[in-house]
Amino acid sequence: MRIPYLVAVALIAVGAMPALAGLSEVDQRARIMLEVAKDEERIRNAGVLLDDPALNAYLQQVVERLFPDRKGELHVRSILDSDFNAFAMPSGSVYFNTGALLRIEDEAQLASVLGHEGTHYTADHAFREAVHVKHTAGTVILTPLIGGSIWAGYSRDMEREADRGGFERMSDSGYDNRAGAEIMGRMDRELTVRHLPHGGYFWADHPAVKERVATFRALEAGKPPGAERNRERYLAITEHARMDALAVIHRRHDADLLVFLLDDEKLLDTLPPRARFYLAEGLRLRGKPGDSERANTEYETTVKTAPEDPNAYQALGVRYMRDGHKSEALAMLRQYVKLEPDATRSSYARQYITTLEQEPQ
Amino acid sequence: MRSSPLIATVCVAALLGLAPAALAWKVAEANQPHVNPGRGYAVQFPVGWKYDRLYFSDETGATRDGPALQSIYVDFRAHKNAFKSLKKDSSPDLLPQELAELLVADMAKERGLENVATLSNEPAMLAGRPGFRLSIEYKLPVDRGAVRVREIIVGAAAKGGFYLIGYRAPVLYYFDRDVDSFADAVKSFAITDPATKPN
Repeated sequence: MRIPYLVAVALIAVGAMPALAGLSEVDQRARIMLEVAKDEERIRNAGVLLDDPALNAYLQQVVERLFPDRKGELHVRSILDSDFNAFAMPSGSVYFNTGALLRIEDEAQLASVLGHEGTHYTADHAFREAVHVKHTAGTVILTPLIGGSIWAGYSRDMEREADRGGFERMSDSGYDNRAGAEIMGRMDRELTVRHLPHGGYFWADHPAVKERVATFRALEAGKPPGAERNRERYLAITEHARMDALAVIHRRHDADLLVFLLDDEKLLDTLPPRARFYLAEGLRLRGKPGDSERANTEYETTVKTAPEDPNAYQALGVRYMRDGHKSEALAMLRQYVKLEPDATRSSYARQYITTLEQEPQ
Repeated sequence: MRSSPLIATVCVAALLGLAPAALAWKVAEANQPHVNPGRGYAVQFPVGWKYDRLYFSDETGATRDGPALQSIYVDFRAHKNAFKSLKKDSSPDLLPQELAELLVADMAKERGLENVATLSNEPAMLAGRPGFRLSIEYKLPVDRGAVRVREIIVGAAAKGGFYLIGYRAPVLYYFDRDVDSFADAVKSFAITDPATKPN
């Protein structure tokens, strides 16, 4: 995948990249690695790295299973970013968005993406891209692509190579071969729903997503089926990060995306019961005909299936209050305050309770 | 490639056009509230602070050391297309809580912030109207210094839209130093346009 907007923007600050002309390959690599080290420091300082040691250890375990011959070279970290993305640096660092974890359902799909990113590193794509740019652009300064960084993107041929390499790694490690096409298929549908160009967005430099789905289908047809999915393990370890990504999408009020992921793509089935609150919110915020009624049903289901989660009580309390159902509203709001007395919104709930209690019967 | 004389002329004209605006900051004086009849409000900015309408925005902003270091801003947004980044309207029947949450979402989207933390969101009064007081914190993107910024926004709905008065400053040193000046500005805030007063 490609470096996300946040990091791409960060890399603009790097300024002009060093001149490589006239340097030996060893020195060229040293120059590139110096810039990588600076960029990685910026990523660390940006406050986007997720502090979840268990998750990072798990991601590391999977990448080492895929690349046993490169043990110690690849290092995976999760990043709090709700976009569907991951990216590899020439240092061997792989950054994996919580938004990608949200859209992935099991370890086989995770392995498909990690295999792709790891292949960028093992196939030396960053250095090859630097040399390619130097030759084709006739420039001696590494300022190609967006973001002023040579590793901000790879050529489409390199992306194809990473797809194939990643698939081989995933398949050879015993994972279900269908995982690659599955995750690409989800990307394809998301781009369609969000009206984003299939060759654009954060995978602008990748082959068209539909082409990649077809490639994965062709690859899996030529291989004996693997079986391993490790779904339960994946969902347990990534639960916190996936819920974080969902909360970020909700905070942005991206209603279409919430409904697409949780309802259309049925990711709700892969998340804890309290995630249903976000589906209800997506419906409420989207506001298409029938959404409001369905949102109500989803809030009510959340209260039943996740009674320990305060959010749905608050939302239902407000809805009942608006609809003039005083006793139901009071019950919901009181429960919310009981569960979350110190939450940022509790003072509103207390105000609503006071107002409702003062109303004449 | 040679640049077109026409483009060069337009660029120079644009720069010259901005020059008077850049010199137009006014200095707030005691007991001299800034009155914006078009937007229907009056506010007393801290004495000695410079204020003017902010570029690329309808807000009026005041600052002591520069907008990046501290800023008190005032805005009135009509309900229609109130949340431009979300492409949503507001409405008079929105609860203050809902208004505040929409504002955070719109701001996060507009500024490309993924890491906005709501520190508090509670009922408050603004110019005698029920509203909200929102406190948020976020880290600017790296290309803008990766500075941790805290922001307080007090808002209330009116008939044709809603009023906002806010304060933002880096957490380090500046926020605490000038937050009391903001509290005084909020107390001074008055809605002046009869058309937007409660019926």
